[in-house]
Amino acid sequence: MFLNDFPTEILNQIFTHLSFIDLSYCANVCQRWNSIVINYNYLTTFNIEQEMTIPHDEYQNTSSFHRKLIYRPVTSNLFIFVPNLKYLRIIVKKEKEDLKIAKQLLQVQGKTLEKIIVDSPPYSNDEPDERFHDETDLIHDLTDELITPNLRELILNARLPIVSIWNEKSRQIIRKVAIDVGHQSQSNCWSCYYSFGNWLKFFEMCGGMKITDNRADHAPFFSPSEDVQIDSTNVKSFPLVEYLSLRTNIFRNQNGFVDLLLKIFPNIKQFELETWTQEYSSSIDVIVDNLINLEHLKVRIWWCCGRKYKHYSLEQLYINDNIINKIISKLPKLLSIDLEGHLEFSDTCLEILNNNKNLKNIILKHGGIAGHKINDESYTQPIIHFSENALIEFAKSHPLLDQLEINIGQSMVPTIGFLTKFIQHCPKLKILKLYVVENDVSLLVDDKFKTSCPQLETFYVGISKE
Amino acid sequence: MATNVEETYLYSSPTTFKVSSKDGEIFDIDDSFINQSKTIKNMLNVLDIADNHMPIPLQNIKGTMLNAAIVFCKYHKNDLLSIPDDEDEDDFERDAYEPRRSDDISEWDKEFIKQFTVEEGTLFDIIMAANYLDIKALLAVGCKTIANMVRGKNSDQVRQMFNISYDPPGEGLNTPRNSVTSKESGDNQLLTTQEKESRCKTPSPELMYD
Repeated sequence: MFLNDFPTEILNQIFTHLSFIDLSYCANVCQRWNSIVINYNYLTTFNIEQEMTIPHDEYQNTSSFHRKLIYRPVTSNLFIFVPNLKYLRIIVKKEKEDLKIAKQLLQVQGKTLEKIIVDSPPYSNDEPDERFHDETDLIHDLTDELITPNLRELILNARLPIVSIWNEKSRQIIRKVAIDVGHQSQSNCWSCYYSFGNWLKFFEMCGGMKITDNRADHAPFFSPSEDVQIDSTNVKSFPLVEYLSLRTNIFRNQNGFVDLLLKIFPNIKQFELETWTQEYSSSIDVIVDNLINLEHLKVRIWWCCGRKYKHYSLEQLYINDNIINKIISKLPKLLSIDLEGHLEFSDTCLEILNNNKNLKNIILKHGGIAGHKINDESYTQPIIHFSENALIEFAKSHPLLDQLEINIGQSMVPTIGFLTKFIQHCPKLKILKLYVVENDVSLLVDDKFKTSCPQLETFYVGISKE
Repeated sequence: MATNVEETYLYSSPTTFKVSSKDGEIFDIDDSFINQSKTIKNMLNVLDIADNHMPIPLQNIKGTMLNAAIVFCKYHKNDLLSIPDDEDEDDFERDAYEPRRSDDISEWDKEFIKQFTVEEGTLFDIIMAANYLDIKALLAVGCKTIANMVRGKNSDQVRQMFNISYDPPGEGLNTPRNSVTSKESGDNQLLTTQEKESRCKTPSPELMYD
């Protein structure tokens, strides 16, 4: 009896113990092993840190951030070409050694790849500012390797300095972009300054436009129109990008920057924004006035805790009926909405949502006001007054609903009778999470209810801390 | 389906049954084996267990392997029986693949598995037996041992070690780079001669998963 007489599940169990590099050799052993390694997605992610680090006993007990990274030596034949490998995600840190390794892998594997995702691991909060001072753009070196001959889709989920990959070929390939020019921890005035500087750098790299920068050195505050002039008549765009994820504060009051961004990415349909602001409503205005073709919107906002915003009213950060009204009335193509923050809703919110019957995903979660320690208890609880009738009416108006995660507040208790009725109106509902304020409500709905509704894949009723 | 009475009987009383191997050897098995082998447990639930003197035929397993499996189960009888089912972990849409440990084989297990690595081919027999009998712990030890053998080897070494004949995985569009092909085909010369002696058949590629 020989190894290849094993059924696939045993080979699978063996493979689960092997690393990316070992598996890439396995994928070259024979056709059968190749198809198992490829089809069971063993080689979809190459996490450079995980694969290349030699575990260092001395640091085993400290957090991964503090552990000193010692990479095993990179030899020229470390990687082997894997036939039939079409998708690859590389998790790369912005470090020289990482890029050298990524480059080598792409050189060996590039020609079969149709889809590449570049991810970077989250930075630690401990040293948030370090990267803003970094003028070098290491990933620039990767440009040639990333734009491989068969590439159809390139997803860049990495931080700003990576974007200099922009070139003519990449404009025809890149479909999803995530840009982070945000501050890792809570914002402060200096981070705004850095992020403007980074935006300018970003716009410059996108090409075609003339940027005249007359800022005084180290000036923390400046206005894009007076201190920096941008002539965007010849801006080069990325026509294929439909998904854009941003972490920035330009949606607060930098309309010039937003205009420019829309020229660079003219076809955005899915938009995710993480930002800090002192007024929720004005950030939403910028989105709904400019991105009228949106199908998916996700917003996370926290409060700017810089000293100068001390006196701003927290009420301006509430997600209320008015915010929902702006979104629903101005974005008629919306299919998916995902908001989290301090909620203040009445039945009016549900009535507004009824105006868009095509909604498939609705997430309205209470998360308090982020970015600031607020001792006042009134900010930690949502203010929601939904009536049972309005919720049933809401269910009737959304026959296509697939996912619903919503705080229903303190004034109603979801009984089994109510839930049964609700679900009847939404035959496509798969994920249902209803958050309540009171502790003991979850006792009313037990697992039996879930088993009586086979359509539901995920079901939760209870307080928002799951 | 087992009735409650039968189950209580199975789980509580120290009972022995007889099993017979492919080559006709007969072994006594007790709770330690029954509790760890899902296959036997299911069989006993389905079969009429009133007469426990008739050996249960296990047509797929050689006597030596069956004996080894019984020894393994006896040693591990006090292990936590509820080993978590990690079958569900084989999620095809897994986000980031992270290899599972294979350096955690106990000393006793290492010694136990050694007898099969010495004699060529029997490691595969014991794994197949573990798979057939559905003894999770034994299967895990076997698979980890093979994973440890594969680790750090290149494709040629793996092929030679396990007597796998070389059929280039890349046909058509995705043929390996020239340099790789020439390197591999050079070694292929060596393998084709081996192939004549080897009984190893070349399986067809797996079907694509959607």
